[in-house]
Amino acid sequence: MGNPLEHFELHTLIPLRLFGLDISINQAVVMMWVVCAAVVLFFWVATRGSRLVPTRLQSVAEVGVEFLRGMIMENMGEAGMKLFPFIATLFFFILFSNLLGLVPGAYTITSQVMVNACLAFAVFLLSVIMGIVLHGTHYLSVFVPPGTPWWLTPIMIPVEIISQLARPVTLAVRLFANMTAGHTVMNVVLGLVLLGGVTLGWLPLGFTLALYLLELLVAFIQAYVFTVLATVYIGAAIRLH
Amino acid sequence: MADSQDPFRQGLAMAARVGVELAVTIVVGALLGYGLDRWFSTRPWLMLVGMVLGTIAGFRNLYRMIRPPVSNSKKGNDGKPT
Repeated sequence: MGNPLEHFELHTLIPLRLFGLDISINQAVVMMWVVCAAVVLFFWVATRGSRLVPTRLQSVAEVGVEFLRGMIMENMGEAGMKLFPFIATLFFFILFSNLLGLVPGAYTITSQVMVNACLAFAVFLLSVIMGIVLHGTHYLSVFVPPGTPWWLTPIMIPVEIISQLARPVTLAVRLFANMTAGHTVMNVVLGLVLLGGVTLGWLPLGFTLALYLLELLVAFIQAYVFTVLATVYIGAAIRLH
Repeated sequence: MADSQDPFRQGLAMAARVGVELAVTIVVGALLGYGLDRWFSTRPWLMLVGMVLGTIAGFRNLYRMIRPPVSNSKKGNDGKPT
């Protein structure tokens, strides 16, 4: 039986080097193109000849966009609407990556921690830049939360620095861990089907189906959690306490 | 999907968050200490300090998540760390 982690390995399809950097095309890169194309295609089809009485696909797209708008208004306020394109791209990119990764044989790009780290780092950088642009040096007060007794300040400053730095890491690791774990468990349980043979094999097969449905839910939840935390973090930098 | 205050979804989102958040914060604290240790060559003291501070930060974030500070709750971001 194969290694259940095998399908997370990246294989170079087209070796490519630029200025000494390895920018080879592997499955993850191809899958990212597929995801981008899928998102664009979905919205193109959904909004083609948009009607007042929406088609089924159009209403799905409208619900998604409306939902993101509500999330931004709630966590970032009116000022956050300028970032709507960024947040929407983030959400739909992660959602489509998770969902298309569930297609048998397709590569799940969100199971690569570096992909998530890049997305999370973009969120982190954006929140710091927003904070400094909007509040200047006053932004440094995030390191001393309001209501801190003076004698706690020497402990609170390093603690705050750690929790600020942990934010992008948690964003990346959570998505990576959830996607990797889910796919690994599905793979292992599917392996049990072969072990069980004809007599007992149907039991893990049913489990795999249940796990697949769970993974569909996880795909939505993780895209939602990543995006909602991105808006909360950027919103905290905009509002500053 | 339009109502993001749905308690079921909020609960799911929180359940999806807490575990990783706590673990990662401790690891980030320890790694930060480890990095500073290599810089100042004071192994292993700063790593231990970083781990303790990371644990404090992790538990404080957890506490904030379940019980937002009074000064923040009026801004309407209940239940989320700021």
